[in-house]
Amino acid sequence: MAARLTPLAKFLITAIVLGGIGTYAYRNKDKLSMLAPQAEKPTSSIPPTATLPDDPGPAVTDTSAGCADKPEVRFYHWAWNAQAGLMLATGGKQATDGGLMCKYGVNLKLIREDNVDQMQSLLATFAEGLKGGDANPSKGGHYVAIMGDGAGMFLKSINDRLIKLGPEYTAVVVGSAGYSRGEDKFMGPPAWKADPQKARGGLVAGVLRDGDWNIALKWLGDNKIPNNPDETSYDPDALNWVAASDYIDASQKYVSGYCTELKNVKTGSKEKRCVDGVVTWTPGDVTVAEKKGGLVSIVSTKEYRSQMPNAIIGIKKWVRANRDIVKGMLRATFEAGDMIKQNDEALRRASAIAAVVYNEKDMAYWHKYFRVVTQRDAQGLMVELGGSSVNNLADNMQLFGLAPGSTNAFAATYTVFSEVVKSQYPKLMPSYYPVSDILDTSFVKELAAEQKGGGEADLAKFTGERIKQVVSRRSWDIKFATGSAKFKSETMGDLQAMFKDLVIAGGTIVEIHGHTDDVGASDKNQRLSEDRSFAVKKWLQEQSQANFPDARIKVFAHGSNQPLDSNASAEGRAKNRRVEIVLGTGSES
Amino acid sequence: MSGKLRVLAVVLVLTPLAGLARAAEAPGCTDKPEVRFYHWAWNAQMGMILANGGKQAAAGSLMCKHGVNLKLVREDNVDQMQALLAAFAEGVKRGEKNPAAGAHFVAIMGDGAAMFLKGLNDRLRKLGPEHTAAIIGSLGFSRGEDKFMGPPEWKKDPKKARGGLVAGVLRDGDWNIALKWLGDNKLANNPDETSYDPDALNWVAASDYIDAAQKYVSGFCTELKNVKTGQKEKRCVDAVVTWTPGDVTVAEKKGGLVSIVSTKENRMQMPNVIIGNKKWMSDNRELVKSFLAASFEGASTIAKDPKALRRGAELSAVVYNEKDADYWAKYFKVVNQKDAKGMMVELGGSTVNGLAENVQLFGLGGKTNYFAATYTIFGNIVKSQYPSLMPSFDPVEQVVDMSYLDELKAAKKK
Repeated sequence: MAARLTPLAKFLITAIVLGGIGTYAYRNKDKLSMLAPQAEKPTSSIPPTATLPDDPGPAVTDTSAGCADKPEVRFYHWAWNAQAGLMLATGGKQATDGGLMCKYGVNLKLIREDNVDQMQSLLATFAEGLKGGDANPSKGGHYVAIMGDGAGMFLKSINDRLIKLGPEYTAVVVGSAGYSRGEDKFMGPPAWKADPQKARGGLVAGVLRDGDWNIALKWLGDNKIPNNPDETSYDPDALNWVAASDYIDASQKYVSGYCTELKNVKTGSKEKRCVDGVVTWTPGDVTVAEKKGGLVSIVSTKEYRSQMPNAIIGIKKWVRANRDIVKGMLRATFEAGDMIKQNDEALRRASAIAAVVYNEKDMAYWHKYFRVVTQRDAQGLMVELGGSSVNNLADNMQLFGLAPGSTNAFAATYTVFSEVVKSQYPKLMPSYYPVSDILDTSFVKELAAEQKGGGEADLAKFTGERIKQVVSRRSWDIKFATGSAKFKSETMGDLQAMFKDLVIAGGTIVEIHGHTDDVGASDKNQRLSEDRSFAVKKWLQEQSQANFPDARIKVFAHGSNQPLDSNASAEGRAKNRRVEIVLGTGSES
Repeated sequence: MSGKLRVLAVVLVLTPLAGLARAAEAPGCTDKPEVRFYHWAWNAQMGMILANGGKQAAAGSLMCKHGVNLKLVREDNVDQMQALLAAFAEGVKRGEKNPAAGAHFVAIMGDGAAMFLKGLNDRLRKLGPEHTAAIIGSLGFSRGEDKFMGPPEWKKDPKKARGGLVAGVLRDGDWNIALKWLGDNKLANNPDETSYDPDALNWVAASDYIDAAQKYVSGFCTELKNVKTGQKEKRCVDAVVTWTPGDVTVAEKKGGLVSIVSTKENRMQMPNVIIGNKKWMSDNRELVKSFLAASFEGASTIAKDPKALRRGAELSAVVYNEKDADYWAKYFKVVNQKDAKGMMVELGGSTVNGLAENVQLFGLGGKTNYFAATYTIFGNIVKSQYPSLMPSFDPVEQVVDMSYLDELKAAKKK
């Protein structure tokens, strides 16, 4: 029989056991957690690297026609980022459901066509269909789009043919989808940029008499360097040319190291000459940089920002008989232009659509080169590539001189570059159509009257800084009344030419340098040169405040301190009395 | 009351009503079963809001056209969203065909879905696997508006963020942005919000993204134990993770912070995801597809037509009951603006998803599944930081049901 414990004994035993446990626990605090673990406190650590997949870009899979019940309207175009608004508005190769083009009742079909001759043929076929009594011909192009500065040559060629059908069958510009703002360029060795005179004797590949060729021709004119328009000869004192079939071929000619035998106009002997410059546009410029390198942007539509508006061209009779369709196409394009200006996501979508429509590259490519990108080429040189802008309605109002303070920049670029072609190829293009014959702004005007709201025009922004990179220096023989800052009446032609030149070079800072001869007191000459420089500035601003804001123009007065020639002769003094225009940019590139 | 006064009173009463009437039409298909959708204020959802035409599917709206009487209810709190889904699942479990309590759908950030669904589905699984929640589609993306905002010097030199204190919703999508940035810059994170580590980025827990912004604006400070010294220290919030309108609040009310990194850079991180109850959705397939189809149509219109975006912004102001149309339209895109201290800061930025974007996001047809990538990557980050709290999460195949999207895609092809 087991002994029974008294209550006291029970209490003492319990106290001893608990005391023992307590003493053990006190001495072994660290081991307690094994009996009853506490909630674990997280501690600091470097998180794992999270590598997300790249953005594939907007899903542009819906390429089915969205308003096929409407008459088909065909638009033939190059691959050109200035048309991003047109791409976004259309939504695919044919106007898509819910897109702006369908919203405005336009069943637009976009078709890439790189060849200018083919574009002309398509317009001609369409015009012939119209002439044959077909209200909406199923063959040919309702529209094509080209560079506005090349429109003189393009329209001369096509309208000389179409006018035989009747004046109402000629082609006419109705609006503009955007601008080249950097991507069209004259690329050459860095030495040419540092010293333009080094371009003498250079050989450039490009499409002759095209918009890109114009860039080089304007730069030559601004720097007083001769051009050799005969691509079968070589002039060591001029810039020489190799004809390319298109802008891609031009870049390939440089990349492949193309050489040719040309007759030297000085020696009469044949010489092997290789391409050392290119005029082209994106993706031609990217091809040059990535595949070979060694060329920089000598000058581009970044500096000549009003040179190259996209110009949408249709046949007069059809556009006038289908005003609502034309206005619908323009309205959709301009609204999409506003979307792109306001939101990079819209540009991404437009870029994805462009990749589908152009059937070349991908969204990332068109998105990247929409803006001017500075990147290292295959030879390690930093080079500027790409650069376009899209137009809204306000931009069209500015372009065609319909907005207050604007000037008709389209007319300026059309006329200036038509004159260039005429002067270089007088036999090929002895004349061109006046702008009033080939431009119909009534559609843009009507849209402006009908539209409420919409974005503002994209005007060049200037900070008031001085020129860091000179693009060109050119003396203008502006004639003033003796001893005064009043223009002589016979100088108005030169002033107008200078005005157009500066409007086209809309991305540049303008320095006006006034000089006199040494007749009279030097302080009086100093004041006179200042007054004359300011007179030029005032006159430019009176023509177009929008193109010549104060921050764009710098005035310098030199009096008789910087003569070009001896003041001893009348001829020398005449040379010394001058207004020199220096164009440049605020950043070195 | 004189006649004149009576007229004045009528005018006073009708003026605000007229404003509302312009912004949102009256409910248009209340004869259909009510479907409740709880959501944050988030511009990525604008396609759905446009389709709905107001807080409840409006007369003439895409949603009514598709036969869906959708009711939109703003709910900023994630715990509450989980509770609403749970209440709905319990109703379904009881045999209710269309429970009157709880949420048919909620929408959250896809990169935070692993944490959200782990907590919720562990609870719902007890009702039966058919009562768990599943992701069925996406309304849009955050493309800039979700961001880690900090002092400019952190942006210039990320190491300067060591010892910083950030306010945010822990383990949420915005927290993920900061965690990804820390991982990319090989900087440590202190996941314990009760302590302070001078060598790591530290956190103050906010109840939601608005509270996170307010904590910075109000100069919130707290006592935290320094893990190196063992001493308590007073530390004040010097950075935030949040989204619009949180980022705008920070910039306008106090300023001084820039976007260190956001979903503008991490473009595929943060799709919006729609979450619903598996059983109810399966029992109501046509209704679910109709809801998705209407939302996607709304989104496609917004992406293509600026007037649709404007209308979506007007309706957002009504549905969120905050700000106005100008605000939601402005911050739909990324905007650079000066903050209260004169610093330039990026605010806002979303995109909306149509059917094509959903097909791409979820990799239908055997393509890259972008959603799976963000779900898994950020699920693993939470797991690494809080192994006790989330030792595991459901594989992506278990939490998505692509059958609705698949059927919509097939119908579109036809």
